[in-house]
Amino acid sequence: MKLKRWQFILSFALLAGLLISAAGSALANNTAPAAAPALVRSENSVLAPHPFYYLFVPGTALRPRESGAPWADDGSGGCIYSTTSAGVVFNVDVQLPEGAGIDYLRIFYNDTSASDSIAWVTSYNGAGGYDDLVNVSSTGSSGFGTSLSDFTRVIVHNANVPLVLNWRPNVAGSTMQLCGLRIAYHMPDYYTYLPSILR
Amino acid sequence: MKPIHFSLRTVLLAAALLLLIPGVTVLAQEIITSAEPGYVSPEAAFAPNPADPDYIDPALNAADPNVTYYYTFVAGSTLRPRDSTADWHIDSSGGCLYTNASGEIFNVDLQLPDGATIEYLRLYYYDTSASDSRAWVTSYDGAGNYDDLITVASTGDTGYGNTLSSSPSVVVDTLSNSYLLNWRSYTAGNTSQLCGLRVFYSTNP
Repeated sequence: MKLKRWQFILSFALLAGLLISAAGSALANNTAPAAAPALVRSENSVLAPHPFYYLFVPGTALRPRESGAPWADDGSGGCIYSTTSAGVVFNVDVQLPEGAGIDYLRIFYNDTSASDSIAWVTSYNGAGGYDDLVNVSSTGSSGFGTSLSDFTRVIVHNANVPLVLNWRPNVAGSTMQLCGLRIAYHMPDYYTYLPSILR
Repeated sequence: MKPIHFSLRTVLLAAALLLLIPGVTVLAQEIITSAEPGYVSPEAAFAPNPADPDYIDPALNAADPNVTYYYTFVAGSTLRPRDSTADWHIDSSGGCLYTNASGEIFNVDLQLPDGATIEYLRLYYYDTSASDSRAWVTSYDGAGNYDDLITVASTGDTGYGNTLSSSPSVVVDTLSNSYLLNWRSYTAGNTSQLCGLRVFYSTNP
C-alpha cells in the first residue's frame, strides 16, 4: 500500500515527539546525585545559542597567595605587577551563579617582556585537592593587549568547590602587568543532549 | 488460514514504537552518564550528605516555591590578613592558607543579596594542632560598629575536616551593613590551615 505523504509526516512527527518528550522526562527525573557532578561537561553535550555574561576583575584586585612578594600598580590603579618575584602567584575569589557554565577566560595585559604571563581558573575541594580548569597566556611584547582562552565547558558547583582566578607574571618588574581578567559565562540550562539528532 | 494484511502506515507506526523503547534507554543513558560521568567527581572530597542541615536537594528547593537556597564557597587562599604585619602561606595545592602569626585574623569580602538569610557557615580546614581555628561572619555599619553574626570552629587534630555552625538565621541588610568572612588560627604554622568557607543562604523575594 502506498503511503501518503501526510501519513509519513505524521508518523515521523510522532516518533520525534515521543523521543524528545522521553528525553525531557529523563532530565526532569534526574534526582540529586549521591556525589558531586563533574565540573567539566563531556564533549557529548551541545551548547545551545546563549547570551554571555561577564565577570570582569581588574588586575589590582588580585594579591599574592603568599606574603613576602611585593607588588605595585601601574599608576592608573588598574594594572598590577610583581616587583621582585617572577614566579609568585596572585589570586582572587570568584563567585558565579550555581550551574553557570564558564566558556572563556580572557586576559588583559601590558606586556613588553620577552616572556609571557599566564592566568587560569582553579577549583579547590577543601581538602588539598584542586583542578586547573582553563588557562590563557599573554602574547607578544608590544604593550597593552588581550588574549582569549580556548572554549571550555566548566560548570559551576558552589556546593562542592570554590573557584579562584590566578595569575603568574613569569617576569618581575613593570614589563609584565596584569590589567584584568574576564570570564565569559552563560546561565544554567543552555546545554542540550541530543547527539543522535544534531549530529 | 486467512492471511493478515498490515498497511504500510501500521507497519511504520509499529516500527517507530519498537524503536522508541531502546532509543529512549540509550538516550537516557547518554543524558545521565555521559553528561555527568558517573556522578562521581574527584573534586568531591567530602561527599554531600543529605542528612546535613545545609544540604540542598531538589525537595528542599521545591518545598516552598518562594524560597531558594544557595551556597557561596570561598577558597581559604583567597583570604588575606587584616593587618600587614602578618605573614601568610599556602599549602601545596594553593587552596589552603596558614600563617606563622598565631592569632592573626584573615578576612575576605562577602557579597550576598539584600534580604537573603544566612542559614549556616561551614568551615573546611586542615588541623593537626591541639588548638582549633575559628571562622565567623561579621557585619559592619561603617560607623565603627560591628556584629559577629555566626561562628564555627575546627575540631580534632586528625587532618582535613569540616564543621558546621549553628543556625542563627541572619538576614542580610546591604543598605546598612557590609559583611566579611573571617578566620583566625590560634596556632602558628601549617598544622592549622584554612581550606574553605561555605555560606549556606536562602532568598525569599
